[in-house]
Amino acid sequence: MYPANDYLVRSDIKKTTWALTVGGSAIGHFLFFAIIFFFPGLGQTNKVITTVIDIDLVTVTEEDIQAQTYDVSDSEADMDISDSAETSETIDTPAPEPMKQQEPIYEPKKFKPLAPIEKPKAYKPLKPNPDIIHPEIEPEPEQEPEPKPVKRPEIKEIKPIERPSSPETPKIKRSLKKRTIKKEHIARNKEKRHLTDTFRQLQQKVRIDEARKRIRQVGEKKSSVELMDIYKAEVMSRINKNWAVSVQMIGGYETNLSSILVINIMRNGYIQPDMWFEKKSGNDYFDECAIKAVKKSNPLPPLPSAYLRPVYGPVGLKFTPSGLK
Amino acid sequence: MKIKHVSSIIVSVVLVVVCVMSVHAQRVIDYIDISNPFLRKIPIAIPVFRYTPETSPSQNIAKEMTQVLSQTLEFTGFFKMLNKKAFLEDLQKTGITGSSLNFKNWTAIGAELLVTGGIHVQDKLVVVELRLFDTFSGRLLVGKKYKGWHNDIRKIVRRFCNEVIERLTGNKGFFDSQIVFVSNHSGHKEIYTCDFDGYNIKQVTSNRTINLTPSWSYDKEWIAYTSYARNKPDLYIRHMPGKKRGFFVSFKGHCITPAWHPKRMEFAAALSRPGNSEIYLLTRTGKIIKRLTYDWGIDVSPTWSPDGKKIAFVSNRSGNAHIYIYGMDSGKIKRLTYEGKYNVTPAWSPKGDRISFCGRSNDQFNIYVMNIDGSRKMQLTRNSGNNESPTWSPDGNLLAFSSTRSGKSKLYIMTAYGTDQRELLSLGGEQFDPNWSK
Repeated sequence: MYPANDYLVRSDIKKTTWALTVGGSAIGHFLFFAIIFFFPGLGQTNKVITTVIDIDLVTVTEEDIQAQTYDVSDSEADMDISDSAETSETIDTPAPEPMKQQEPIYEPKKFKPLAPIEKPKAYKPLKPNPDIIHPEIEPEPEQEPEPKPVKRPEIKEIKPIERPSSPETPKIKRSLKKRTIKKEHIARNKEKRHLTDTFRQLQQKVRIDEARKRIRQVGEKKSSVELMDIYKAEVMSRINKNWAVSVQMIGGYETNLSSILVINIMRNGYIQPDMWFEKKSGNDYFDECAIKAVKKSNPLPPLPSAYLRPVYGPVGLKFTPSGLK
Repeated sequence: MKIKHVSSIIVSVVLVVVCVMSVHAQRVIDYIDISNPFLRKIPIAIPVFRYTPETSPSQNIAKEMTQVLSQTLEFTGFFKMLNKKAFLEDLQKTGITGSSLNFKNWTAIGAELLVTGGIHVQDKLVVVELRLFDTFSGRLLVGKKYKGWHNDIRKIVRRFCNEVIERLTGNKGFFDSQIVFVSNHSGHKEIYTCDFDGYNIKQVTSNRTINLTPSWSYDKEWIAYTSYARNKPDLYIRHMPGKKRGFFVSFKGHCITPAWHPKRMEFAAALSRPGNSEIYLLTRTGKIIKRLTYDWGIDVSPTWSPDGKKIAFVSNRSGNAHIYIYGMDSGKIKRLTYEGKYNVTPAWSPKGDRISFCGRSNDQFNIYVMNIDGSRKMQLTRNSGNNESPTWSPDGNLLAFSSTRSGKSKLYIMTAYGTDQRELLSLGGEQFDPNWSK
């Protein structure tokens, strides 16, 4: 504190610059919150996320579809068709129309044919230009399969909110609002326009990150408990089905053998080749049977789409022949 | 410019937060309980052997041999034979060595073991190559080559099966063992023998009287049995190859239920010489070494522990027939069974940890096993007529017994856990008192 004060007292020039920065940032903050205030659609995304995620998780069938589409092809069109057909029609049917209207304004024509069904594209136009960059950047940090499941919830978030706020007016109006506001800003201060842009970029980035975080938290802590329980049950039954142990070789039905084999399951259900025993049973035959059961079960069912990590694991498979009794 | 700094700081803070979150979210290990194996046996594939020259006689031999091998291995209760229709490969086309096999085609159908065989027929000689593979690792577990006559097929297969079992379990297979039993097939209760799998039945006695409770000596050369050939139950010791003279053991009263010592040429039997039936230890020739039990009750049916240090037997000293253990060194006697009123014909397992016996409950005789201290009693047969006279296979994995489940008393086989109960052989008349050789 002291050095800072001295610093300010001594140099008036620097004092002014400091004041400028404080003022600038204050204005920036003001703008930031003003934008949030005037465009609740941008600010309230978080609330919506949860609801959208709930939908995702409830419709368990979607996981399968997503997994399949991932395997078969990366084309977004395929995925979206299956998506709309299977799950979210009732919820999203009104959505396509406003999207169409927007697209001509912001987006190149390429997207048109795909548009009626597609949600991801609808998302892009909502955001100002810089957005186009973001979705492209997002996928990079996470592995290939992930971006799709992630994108979708975000996209959905925005639509429902906009509808209540401006029920029938097309989004052009809103974007006009944005523009007018922008122009006002520009009129006031040209430099600050640059500021708002950067801020908006920033804000969106933050928003996306937060959304992702939230999905992670919500997805994994609450619903994914059940979700992964279902998945674990699937894995259990699959491996049990492939598990063959000669009762005579393990010393009868009332044996206390137990071994823990640790595996990692990839998104498409394949088990990573490196597996190891956290605990061996002491009976080589029994342990070998465990490995064979796992190898026979490979690939396991693909991970649920709501599970966001590329790999599920390490998972300990606890082999005990207690079911024999 | 400052604002740029600020924004970059914010960005970096956000990034750090995200990174920290993701690192923090590194998940704790999850566990999944796998506790119910679908199959309680080893799935094994035995495709039809490859044969040369490609003629129908050699093809028939190949088919027959494959069949015998499958049956022999299946008999042990260790294996689940996979259906040949599911096989994706044909040995005639692929070959039988590890390098010519595509093991994925075998693991795909669930096989964990694979036996490949190739036979080459020359005149009446058959040269057989047999291999056992682990399909997952592609490892060769057993590889053997045999040469024999056409009618040696079964012998060759059994020899290979012994190798297989020894490789997998560490214990010797029982494919050379035999079962001796009593049958009234001819109208009289005579002694018969057969191979472990019910083949090769041979009649041993033909004295047209009653012959009972045969017992194998440990070297499989001798059997002792009770016979009424002289109008009272006496013991006969018989050399099975028939090259040596047998012995006749007769004392005042009865001489019944002989049991050979597991390591020496001695046997225990119940003699009623002192007035009531007591257990005695006798030499191979029938000379009394020692009287073992002293009690007012009837003591019969001795069975040796595999180390020869203890004898389990039946006594009615408590009022009902129950099983007791006698220590050869200590001379002490310990009661094992308390439940029921009639527990007889104990058989000590070759591993030494269990005793099988026949007990009566609800007017039915059933086979039980228990630990040698009387704990962990398990009922192996139920609701299937009277089941009596259990005897262990040499490896301790199977039990042979007699059962009236189909009306007449027949011989049956099951695992030591009571599973896979099946008839051993089909022979006219009734069969009783099986005793499995070493």
